[in-house]
Amino acid sequence: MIYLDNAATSFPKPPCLTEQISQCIRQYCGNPGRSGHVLSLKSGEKIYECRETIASFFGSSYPENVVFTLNTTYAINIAIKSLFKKNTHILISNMEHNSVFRPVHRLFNDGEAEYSFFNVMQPTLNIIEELERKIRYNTSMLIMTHSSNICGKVFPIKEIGLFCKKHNILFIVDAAQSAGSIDINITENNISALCAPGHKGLYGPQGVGFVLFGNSTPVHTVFEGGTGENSLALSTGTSLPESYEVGTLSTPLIAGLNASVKWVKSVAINNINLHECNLAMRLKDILTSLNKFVVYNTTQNNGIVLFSGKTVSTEQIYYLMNKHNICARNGLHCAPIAHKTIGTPADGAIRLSAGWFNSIKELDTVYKVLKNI
Amino acid sequence: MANCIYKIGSITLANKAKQALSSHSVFVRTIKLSSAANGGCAHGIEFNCNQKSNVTHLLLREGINFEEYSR
Repeated sequence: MIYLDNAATSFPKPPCLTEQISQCIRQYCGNPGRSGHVLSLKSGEKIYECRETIASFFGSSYPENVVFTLNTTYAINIAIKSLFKKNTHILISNMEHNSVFRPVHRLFNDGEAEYSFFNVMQPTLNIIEELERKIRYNTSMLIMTHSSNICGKVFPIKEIGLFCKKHNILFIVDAAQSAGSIDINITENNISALCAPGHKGLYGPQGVGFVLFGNSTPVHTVFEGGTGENSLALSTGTSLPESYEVGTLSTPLIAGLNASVKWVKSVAINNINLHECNLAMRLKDILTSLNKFVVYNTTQNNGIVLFSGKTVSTEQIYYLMNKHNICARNGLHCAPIAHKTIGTPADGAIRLSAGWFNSIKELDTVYKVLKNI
Repeated sequence: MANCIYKIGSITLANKAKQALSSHSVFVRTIKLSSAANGGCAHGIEFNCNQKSNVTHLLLREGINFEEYSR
């Protein structure tokens, strides 16, 4: 098997991940923040340690601003809905995943917000010029992906963050594809809320993601319930992070994430990114040399390569790759808007996404399979 | 000397206080508080009362809110 679906979830995982999850379950898995006994307190400490690890990894000095969620989609929903002001205008890019588009469209459908798209697939100066034209007196938020989940292109969050700061607009960044693969500093980029998964570029387990709040304070809870404090209060409150993490957190998964983020840090983001880019460039060379595929990547910022057939359908190509145990992802990748923007066929395209554990040698097999399609 | 308790609030902030203090070689332990008179459950820190002025000073410096608590 050749696993080239790291943009969906990274595989395999570093051994420290399973060790930490197992150790937590075997040795100290109490309910964090609920009881006063040693296991509960130890779990609470481990979770706090992970908050510190994540905050520091993304350039924040505030571990309490890390809100754990199930995944990036939950993180984005919490970020948008906790910061949202009614009857305002939102800007989103034309490369968004449904995890951004659908919550925003829901606000529009409910009559609570209006939204506009901006074209992020153009030079930075042109993006800023377009944003200047599109902001309104009541624009309250700009939400965008840092790196496209379909073609991997990285967008200029630093410049867009400055634009948001200048106009006092909240800046929410979907880092589903970039966290762990590209260095992100929440403070330097003026990010109000950074949303990321544990299980992709951070090489953590599925089932845990997070919002890291930056220069903004959430004001609306999204879910209501127990937080382990102020039990007599009638409302959930709005204090970070517990009011946004109602119910029991998954200590084993968070312990695993803590270990995997430290592992990414020890390998170094630059090394991971360089390795991914080298593999992706080789994949691109393979696809181009065979002269029967359309490759959609314009630049190579990470391990993602998106392609379709010139004469053979995406589904047929995918079927044959699957038959040879090459794990990739086809279709629209939950991002029909992005597919429309870059002009893939109606049935989408195939995404190959390399990760740290892939080797150049594996790509020879990919070449042989694709050659015979 | 007896132990003193400061109510901090959430387990996260109690751990933040504990970490901040330990980086100044002041060692405290986090505890669960459950007095109904104080609004229900909360977390706090317990420490030797001879460290009280030190703890108070450092928490204020770190911007961590607290209040004295008695069982």
